[in-house]
Amino acid sequence: MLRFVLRRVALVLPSLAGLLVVTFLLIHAVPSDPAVAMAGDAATPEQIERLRKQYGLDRPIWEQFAVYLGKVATLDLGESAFTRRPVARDIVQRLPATLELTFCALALSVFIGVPLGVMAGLKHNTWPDYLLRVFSVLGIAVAAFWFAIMLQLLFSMQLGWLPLRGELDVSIARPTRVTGFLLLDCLIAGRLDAFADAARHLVLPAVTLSLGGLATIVRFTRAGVLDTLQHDFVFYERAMGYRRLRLIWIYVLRNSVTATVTQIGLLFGGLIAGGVVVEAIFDWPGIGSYTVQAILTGDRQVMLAVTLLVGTVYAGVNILVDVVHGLLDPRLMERT
Amino acid sequence: MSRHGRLGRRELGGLAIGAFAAGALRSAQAADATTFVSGFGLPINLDPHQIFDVPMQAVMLNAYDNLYRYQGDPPKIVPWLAESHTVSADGLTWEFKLRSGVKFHDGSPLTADDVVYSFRRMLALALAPAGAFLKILKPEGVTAPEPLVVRFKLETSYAPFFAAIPSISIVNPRQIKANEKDGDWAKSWLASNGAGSGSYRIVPAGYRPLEYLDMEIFDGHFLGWSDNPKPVRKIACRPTKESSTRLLALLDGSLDCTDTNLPADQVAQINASKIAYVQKDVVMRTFIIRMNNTKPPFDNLNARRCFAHAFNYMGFITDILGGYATRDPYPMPDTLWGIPKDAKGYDYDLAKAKEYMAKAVAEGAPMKRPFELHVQSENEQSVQGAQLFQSDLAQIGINLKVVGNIWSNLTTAAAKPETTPDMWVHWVSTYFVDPENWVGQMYDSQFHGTWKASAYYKNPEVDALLRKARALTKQEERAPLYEEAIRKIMADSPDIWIYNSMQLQGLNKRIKGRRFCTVGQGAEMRWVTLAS
Amino acid sequence: MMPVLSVRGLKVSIHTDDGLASILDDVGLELERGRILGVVGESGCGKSTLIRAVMGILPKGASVDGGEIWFEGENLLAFSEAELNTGVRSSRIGFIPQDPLLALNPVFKVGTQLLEVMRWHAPDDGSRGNARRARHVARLVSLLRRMQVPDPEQALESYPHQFSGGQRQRLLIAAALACAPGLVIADEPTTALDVTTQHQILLLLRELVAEFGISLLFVTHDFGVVAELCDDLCVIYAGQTVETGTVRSILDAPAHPYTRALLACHPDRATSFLGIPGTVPSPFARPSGCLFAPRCLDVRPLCLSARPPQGRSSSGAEVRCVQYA
Repeated sequence: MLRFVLRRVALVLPSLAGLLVVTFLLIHAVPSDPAVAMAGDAATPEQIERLRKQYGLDRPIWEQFAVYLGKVATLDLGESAFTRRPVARDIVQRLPATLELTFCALALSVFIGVPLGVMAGLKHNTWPDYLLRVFSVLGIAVAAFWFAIMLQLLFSMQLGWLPLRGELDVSIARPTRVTGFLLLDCLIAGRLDAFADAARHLVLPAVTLSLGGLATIVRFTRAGVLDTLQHDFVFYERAMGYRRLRLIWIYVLRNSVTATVTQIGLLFGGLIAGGVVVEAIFDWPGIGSYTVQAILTGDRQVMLAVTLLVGTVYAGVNILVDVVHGLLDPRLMERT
Repeated sequence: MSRHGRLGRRELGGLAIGAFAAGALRSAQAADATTFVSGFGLPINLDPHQIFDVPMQAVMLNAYDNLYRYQGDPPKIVPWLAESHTVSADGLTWEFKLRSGVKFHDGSPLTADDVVYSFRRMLALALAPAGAFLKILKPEGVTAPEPLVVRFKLETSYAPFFAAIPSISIVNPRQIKANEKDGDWAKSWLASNGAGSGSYRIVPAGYRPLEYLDMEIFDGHFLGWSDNPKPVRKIACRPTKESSTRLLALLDGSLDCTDTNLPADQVAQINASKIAYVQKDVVMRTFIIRMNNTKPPFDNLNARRCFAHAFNYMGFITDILGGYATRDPYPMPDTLWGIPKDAKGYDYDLAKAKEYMAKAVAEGAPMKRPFELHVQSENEQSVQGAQLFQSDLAQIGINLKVVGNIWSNLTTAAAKPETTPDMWVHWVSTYFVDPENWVGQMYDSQFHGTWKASAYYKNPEVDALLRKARALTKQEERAPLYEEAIRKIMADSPDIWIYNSMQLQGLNKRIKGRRFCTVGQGAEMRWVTLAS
Repeated sequence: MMPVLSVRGLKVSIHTDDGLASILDDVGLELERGRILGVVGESGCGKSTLIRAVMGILPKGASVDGGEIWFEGENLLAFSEAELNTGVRSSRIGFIPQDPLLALNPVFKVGTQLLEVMRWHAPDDGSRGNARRARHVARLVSLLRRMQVPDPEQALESYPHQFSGGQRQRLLIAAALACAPGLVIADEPTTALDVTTQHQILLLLRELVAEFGISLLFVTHDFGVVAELCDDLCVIYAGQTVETGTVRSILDAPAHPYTRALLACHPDRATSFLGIPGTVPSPFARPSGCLFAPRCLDVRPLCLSARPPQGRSSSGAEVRCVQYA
């Protein structure tokens, strides 16, 4: 098991290095001079030139890359030229919010999507199945933006059940930061009021973000179940008198979710990307808007760091997916 | 695009919201009567010596104080930390007499030494707010001859010096020095903290860059609070990113004010609500299409005039901006002094444009080449304006391509005449209220290389007039020089001047006592009261 | 003595997109207690459907249109799905599937799967919870040991793919016996195995029938297996029983032309390797007369017009052929 994970990690490292090189080149191909943006609106050419020197922007690109690599190797992601804060600190502050949102969305997609997918598979070619199929096509096609507004209108404006935006109400004091994950920090601080409020704030963005993933998971689970039901062992298990519910939800399901689990790994990338829109609509203080801002202002340190980070998280999730695959199906673990 | 059928994101959102708003919206949230939830955008960091832009004004006007401050509409420069000032006849020596008894947030007294430190820090960092000072003020030129007197010895006479004084916030050197690292003037620390004396203090734990910022009242502010017995005790800055969310938050009472870029299509909807309204204020923020005067045919006067006559000014203002702007044919806000009364701008007249085009062609100007107009793609209204221009130019046989771009790329490109686009679009906001902020920095050729001067216009007579006006200190002496310069500039038609902005901001009706000033755009909170 | 399993005149059809297919037309058989009944026929003749009908797990769209299935004196067709699942499967009727690799769930340990069956169907001995589970484990271990599975404790902790084909089949036999059923149905359990292993498994089954006091319904297409293992024989063709009797009598003197043809094809006694000419008639369009008539070497005019009646051969087998009427 440990070897299995280590091998996966070893395979990921060169990909991340490649990602870094490509990102570095791409960012430097953009004709945006960070010194200009850094200096601000009223800057003179002399001010800009000073900044360029100060940040080594006048050096050849390979030299800049070497300097950057040296820093990354020591886990120094540099300082954002704009927020003037260490990029690592900005990201550590924001990433938990994005991860909290992404994981909740993923959990929603999985805990709703898998049962729906199983039911669609069992009710193959009957009206519940058709309904779910229409839904899963819609789920992929419907723009998160539109869906989010509908949720805001219904649950915040009309019914007043859930907050419109943000992470915590302005009247509620933030719990002391321990993990950076707001929900966890609320619990650690024993602040149930803040926990409840934070959870309420999480609902709409998480539901919005889960929509696309939900549809994908329904489709893949359905297909997995349909495929599994064709197998001899299902007949054998019936013939041996397995209880129906256990047969479906344990013995069939575990065989059916392999493809779904793969999708979850792929979805994670999509969720982080989709998070940019959702975070903007709900003013969720994650890395989405931070990244967009960095792109608009040409903040290279931030762009590089976020790329590296998202790449790492993505790789991590996919290693996790491989491990889960291995746990679900022991044959896979042995083949590697 | 959305003018012609295809629904944009905002239109879609607007439709949906409209459909619901027609029904009964839930009654407003029981909002806390001492907490103001602000929708003003946040600056990229909190250090007023690093950042100097519109969002920064909303922070520095509340968390910091300055020697003089712009107040009122139209803006007047009034004493603030300083009680008064004097200037020597040669315009080189300025002395500011400080109020006594002013305290910083940490309780320590604010003295002339602190002002000296603040100016030296600003000069040492040499970032955005230093732009107006770097050439005329050396660090050793700022001194404190007496505990409450600050003296500035300028290198050259520079009238806009006084106009720029409000752009420098006074910081607390004791807090700064305690957080300094390797002689960095604590710029890393101050980027996420506060060290001021303003009416409100920054709560560092309540700050996440670009996301949220909490400020709480400073009871010991030097002005006291007798002029506002029921002030806002906490400012919770919660800027919105999506225009639809901003609208909903305003209508549901969870946001007290929007930022100042409310799109015109949301005005009617907000005004129809019980809880909020749209405040319209004329601000000094001009909208311009730049022409790169070094690139043929823009080096040709007739060609430039042809373009200036081909833009449908009123069509743009009326149809696309919903009338929320005022036509401004001058190179500065029409409300500012220094504009010649007899000046007449360019009007939309395709016949005239054709005439000038013919003249330009006769003079060998390459009018048939394809042109590029760069706009910031995230700004829908600019894109629509550019498309309007494109269709008018097509009618007279000029081929214009609209190119979407981002601000940082555009300012980078504008640093050199070769890389500056044929044409590009931007605003010029009020950094300080003086013609120098507009014509001075836009058309004096010594500023070539900054985006503000990206027309690369060069006229020795204009240079001489602007430099002379800059060196004088009395407005009545300067005004005729600017008028003359502007006459010449307008005759040369280096850019296409379109409008002066009208600021649209959605406000909750519980807001009372708001004071508007074009500098800060109404973000200064110390007079605001929230009705219950 | 009452037979353990008695099937009479069983008719099963299935609704498909192409129409109504008659899978079983008239199947009858009787399995006496303690005996081994072989059911033989070509593929597609309805053997699997017969097993499914007995176990009450017909494929989607299939229905029993007539006939009776009596099991230990009870009419199985009258049982609901729930009654079958809680009271018959595994506990009274064990099942040995055809392909041991495909029949085991690949992602669960063998022990998990076998204990799942025992959890619901093992005879109640009064123990509960962990004690009950421990007894189940103990019984499985002893069963596996009896099946000559090496290291039974380890086997329960292993996954199906970690066993050889023969081992897997032994696991499945153990599973079929785990809950002490009276009847075991085996669906071509040796088809997927090599000859040596097949022989060992057959020997094992033979011993187990006596040892565990079970009756065995053994479905196969292989007369060699029948000869080695079975006491009685039932030959099925196109959904009809065509000949039943003791193995001895039928192998010595096959009466029905189909039985004769099948035997002629068997490699052990083959006179030709061509197989039986022609194919099983389509279940959508059965001939009106004898179903085997189109392929019968001994066909008579009468065969084509009317269904042949049951007759009895000289060796005592029941035969569905005009020759014995």
